[in-house]
Amino acid sequence: MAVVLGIETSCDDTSVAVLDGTRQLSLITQNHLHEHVKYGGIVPEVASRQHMKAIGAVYRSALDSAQINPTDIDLIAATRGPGLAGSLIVGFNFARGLSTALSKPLVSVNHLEGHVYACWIGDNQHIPPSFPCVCLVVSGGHTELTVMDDDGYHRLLGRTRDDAAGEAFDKVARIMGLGFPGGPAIERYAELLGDMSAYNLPRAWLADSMDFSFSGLKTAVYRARNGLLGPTEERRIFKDGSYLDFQGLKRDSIVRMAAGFQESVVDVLTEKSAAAVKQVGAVSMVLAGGVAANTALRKSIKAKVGVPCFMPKMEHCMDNAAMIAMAGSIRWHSQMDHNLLYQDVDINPSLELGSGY
Amino acid sequence: MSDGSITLQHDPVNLISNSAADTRNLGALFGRIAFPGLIIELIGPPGSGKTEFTRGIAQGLGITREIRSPTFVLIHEYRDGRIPLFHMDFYRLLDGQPVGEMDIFEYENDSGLIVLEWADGIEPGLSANRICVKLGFIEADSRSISIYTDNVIGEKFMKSLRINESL
Repeated sequence: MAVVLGIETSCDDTSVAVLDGTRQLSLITQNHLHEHVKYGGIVPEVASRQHMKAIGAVYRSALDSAQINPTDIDLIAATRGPGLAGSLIVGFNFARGLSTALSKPLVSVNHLEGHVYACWIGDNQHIPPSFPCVCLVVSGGHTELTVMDDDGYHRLLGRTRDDAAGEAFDKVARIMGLGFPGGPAIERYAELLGDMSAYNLPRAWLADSMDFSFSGLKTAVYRARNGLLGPTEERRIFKDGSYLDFQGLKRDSIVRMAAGFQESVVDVLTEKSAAAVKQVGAVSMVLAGGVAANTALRKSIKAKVGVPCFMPKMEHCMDNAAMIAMAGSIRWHSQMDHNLLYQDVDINPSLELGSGY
Repeated sequence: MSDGSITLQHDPVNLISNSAADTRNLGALFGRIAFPGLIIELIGPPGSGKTEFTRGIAQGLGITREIRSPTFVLIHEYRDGRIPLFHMDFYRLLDGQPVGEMDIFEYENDSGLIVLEWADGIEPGLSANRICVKLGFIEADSRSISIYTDNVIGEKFMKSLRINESL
């Protein structure tokens, strides 16, 4: 099998991984978000500088931990977009330089496609999803529903029109004072629901569309917290009249709000995924991205889509370079881009899922 | 300006928006008259219409790509309009804390329009070309919108805004 080096620097994380075929030999990730705040200076310069400072060491420790030498690398895969321009440039140029120095081929990878291919990582017995496959990529920055007809071929079915699902988790958690990151915090509180009833938050179905919208949900929680709900809305959300409890952020009402919020997001994501599977006659489903780490969502999708459902391991849900190595490997070996010289391509901060490499 | 507060050189313009469409239309007017180097700072709680306003700006610039929240990647670039639009969002970085000196405006600062969300903590003077748009809740659908500036470039924009809208 080929040894593939993956490099991912699209946002906050500098990540380098080594795969041997589909098997992961190492994955090293360093997060910089808090450096930004400490530094006082800011995007995009600081983001690029943090990646610059980190990438050499992260690369070396990925090789050490995989117990390989640079000359053992057969292929180098790096994220080309979407992401923050200054950050993408650091990782992509590092990969370009490495490719030149080692005389090993370079392949560029769409970060969102990487999230999907996280499900292909595994040992030799690992069976990947079959096509056509419906993919739901849900993270802090993205909410995309596609059907993948073959390796690298995505058709976009729907996406968020405003906030990403993961972003809604973070913002709602902050409104309730639950801290960052919001996903795990909301999940932890929602699990405490027990015999209590979850608050009845709205669901944005966007009839006749596979698109999503999570902005209204976030606004509803904000307005509830700040006593800005109209009487009808108040009665709909707080059926037992505990509106004031929530404004005072009493513990039980935080739990009920966390559960209500999570149910609303999970319901919409599940229903639309199930509808997509039916509509395109998919034989499998992939749930990927940071929000795929949410247990309630994993359970709900698994129970309701009616086809075999694939989800990455937890460490491959968040942004990571192993998924980039996997996607790059498949792209390279299937010669999807024919004789494209990846050395000469530019990064693309607004790359979309389905628009190729 | 040394005390960290904004010194108004002229009166703010105060408006009421009665719907998301109103907010978007005002944004579209901004987009039509905006010039490269200008920074529009949007201030307001979640749901007050910052994204809707930005959608209007994009529309006014002739951008056809859909505007989505840039919270996660911090910056979304749109280059298919009259001038480039850099939509920035510091929500994740500020984490609710006020921030002192920031050096954001190295960012292609003269080639396009910057729309900045969640930057309330930035000291004035550092973003010398800014115009502030403050959005607040009145009722379910109506919002108060206050437009003000603390610098000459911003005032140039305000003047053009008053002429175009007879404010």
